[in-house]
Amino acid sequence: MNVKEILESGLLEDFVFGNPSQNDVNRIENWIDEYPQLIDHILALELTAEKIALDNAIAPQQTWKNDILSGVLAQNTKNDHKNPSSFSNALGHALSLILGTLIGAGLMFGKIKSTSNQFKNLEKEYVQLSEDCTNNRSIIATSESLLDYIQHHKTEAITLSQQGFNQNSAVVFWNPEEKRALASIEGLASLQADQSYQIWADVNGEMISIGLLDQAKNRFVALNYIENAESLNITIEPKGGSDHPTVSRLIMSAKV
Amino acid sequence: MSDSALLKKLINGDHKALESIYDRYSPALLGMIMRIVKSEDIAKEVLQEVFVKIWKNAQRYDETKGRFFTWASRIAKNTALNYINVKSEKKQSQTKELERKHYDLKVQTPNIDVLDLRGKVNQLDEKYKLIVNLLYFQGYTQQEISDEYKIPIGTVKTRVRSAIQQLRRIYDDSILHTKESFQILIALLCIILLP
Repeated sequence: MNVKEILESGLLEDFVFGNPSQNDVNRIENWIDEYPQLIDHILALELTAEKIALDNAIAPQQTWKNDILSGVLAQNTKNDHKNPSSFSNALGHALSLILGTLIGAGLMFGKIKSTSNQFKNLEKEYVQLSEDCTNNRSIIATSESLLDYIQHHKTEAITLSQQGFNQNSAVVFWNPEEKRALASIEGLASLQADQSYQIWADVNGEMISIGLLDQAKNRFVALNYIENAESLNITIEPKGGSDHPTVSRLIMSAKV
Repeated sequence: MSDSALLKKLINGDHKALESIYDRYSPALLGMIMRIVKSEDIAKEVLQEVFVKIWKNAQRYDETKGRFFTWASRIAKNTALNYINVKSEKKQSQTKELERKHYDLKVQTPNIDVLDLRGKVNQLDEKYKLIVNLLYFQGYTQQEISDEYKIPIGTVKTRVRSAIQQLRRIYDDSILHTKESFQILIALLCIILLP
């Protein structure tokens, strides 16, 4: 038979769905060796058959498991010791029974332990999921609050950038109505470990520090809002900041 | 763990592997057995015999020749049908008095509803549903269906192929719906946990 004839014979459907004779099983298994392309066809039939079987599954009673598995193992032990004397036969039966009971108890204990572990794992996963959800909720709330502030009709976005350095800039969101200031420092270039960016407000010619732009923390840094600021200025200072700005290290400036 | 890995452990006498196979496949196998023997008590005996055969003959299973479930379901069907045949032969040779004490299919049929076909098979036309029931759950060959139901063998083969193709389409559609349902479930979970 060639592949086409095999596919049309219906024997593969009998092989998977029906109750084929041992001769038919052997014949089909030989065809599988001869025509490997049959495997895909058989696999597709098998997957459909399995789905039907699962749809029509009937769960055995819980007590069956112990009985059946003990019975299987006991029968196996019995068959391994065929035709002994009547005493040893009886002894074998007793041992099989004890062994079966022990194995059954072991299986039951193992199952209980396994179920308990599964429950614990599930509980851990639930706790982790709850924590993740709480964290995500907090992140969403923070983001929403930030967005509200940035979109506020009185919030002014002031961009400070270093001349000649496209890659070094910060944006300050300045709101005189809410008397709040916030800096987005994502665009600032990295500094050496012993240096910090410090931001100053110029009020009537006096430079007042309104915060350190600590890059190790967040993308946004809350600043101290100062009334009557005329301009904002960023300097590079020693780590931790200075009381007075180092004018020679003034790198960015913008009017408010 | 894959069937293949479980079978290797089973061949090495690993009891845990037998337990895992029982957990994984006993409901599907019992569904087949029950539809043939139609009695819980008998089905339990047959299911045990099936697992004895799986345990003893695991080394004969060749994964290059088909999936484990196909092999196991063939054992289940054969065992259940043999059981019925043996009972039937015994019945014929016994007196009526003794016969009454013996297993009687009709009397002991517990709950016919349980044995009705369930799931996607019910979406098939009646003629296809009958074919699937006889072939898959009653252990008929296609030739036997043809002989018993006086349907030309060519028609039986065509119906079998059509039924399987229809079922494959139905199951593929249901997988798509399942994926969508899963996504909806995840979204609902997030809504519940993030009020």
